Amino acid sequence: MVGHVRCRHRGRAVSARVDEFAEAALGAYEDMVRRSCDLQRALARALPFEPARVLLSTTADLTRDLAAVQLSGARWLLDS
Amino acid sequence: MTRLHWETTGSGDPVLMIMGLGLSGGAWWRTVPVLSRSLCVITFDNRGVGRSRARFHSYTTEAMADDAVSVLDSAGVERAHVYGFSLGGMVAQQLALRHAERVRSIVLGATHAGGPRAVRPGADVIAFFRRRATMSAEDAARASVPFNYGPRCRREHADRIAEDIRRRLAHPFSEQAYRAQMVAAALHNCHRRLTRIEAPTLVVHGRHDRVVPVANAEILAERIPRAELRVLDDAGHLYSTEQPEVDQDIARFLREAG
Repeated sequence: MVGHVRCRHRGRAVSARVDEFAEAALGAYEDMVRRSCDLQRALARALPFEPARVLLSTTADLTRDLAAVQLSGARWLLDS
Repeated sequence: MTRLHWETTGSGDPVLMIMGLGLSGGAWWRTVPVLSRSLCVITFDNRGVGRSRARFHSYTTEAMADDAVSVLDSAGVERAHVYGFSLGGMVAQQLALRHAERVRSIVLGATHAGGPRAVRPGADVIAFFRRRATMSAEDAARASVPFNYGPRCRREHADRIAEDIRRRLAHPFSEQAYRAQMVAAALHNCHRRLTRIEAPTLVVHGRHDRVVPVANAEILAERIPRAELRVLDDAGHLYSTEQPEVDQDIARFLREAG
């Protein structure tokens, strides 16, 4: 009986650690995406040509939105 | 190119208002006169709605939060209180997480955190919102009454509901934008990260809300460290029509949050 309880506690501790690690990885990915978007926007502002500017800021928006969908899905799985 | 229409009313500390699904900034018409007595109220039309335009009709609450920050930039405001209603409340959560340095305090009205732990509305409500995109604006506004308002308001304040509908019809929205906002709401998921919100937060919700069940407000208030919860006993989803006195409480909260 005591053994069962210990196992359950250990199971919970491992799952909490995996959860923490997954969240940290998602957070790092989110930061990386944000830095990449900021960089693309800064480059877009620096460019003298209008089509290139629009293209880069559009790519930045798409990068953000695609990552948002990926992160939402990943967190959904972690919470399920 | 995405172009956002915004306007300000009153003077004092700034408060940015973010409206919900398919509604323009003009839908704050009951709340703006109350808050603007002591605050500078900034309202805007979300992308694709009212006088705002979107480059693409594919939205996320993250993108909408970045839009809200662009409005603050354009208004020359460094930090503001943020009041989001329904879908706007989801955007406000993203704003507090993505741009914490721009947020003084938050009011989350009739909203949820998203993810699998959010409490879903009944099947009849979901079916209505799917159908709504195919209905005429007037039919949709009338058919939404049982979902948007609590029983007491429907019984005693038909005049207020009629005025809401009249104003809503003055700012029709595009079907594409409506669908895109529905997708943004469906993808929204801040549940795990709510504990990171440091700003003082007021969660406001009607007990009879059928669109976003009140259990969602309890989740938000439990997860956000500095949150307080105000549940309105006689209100449904559109609580400022049903219990307009709540706007004064919100104004007080914003003033005290500094």
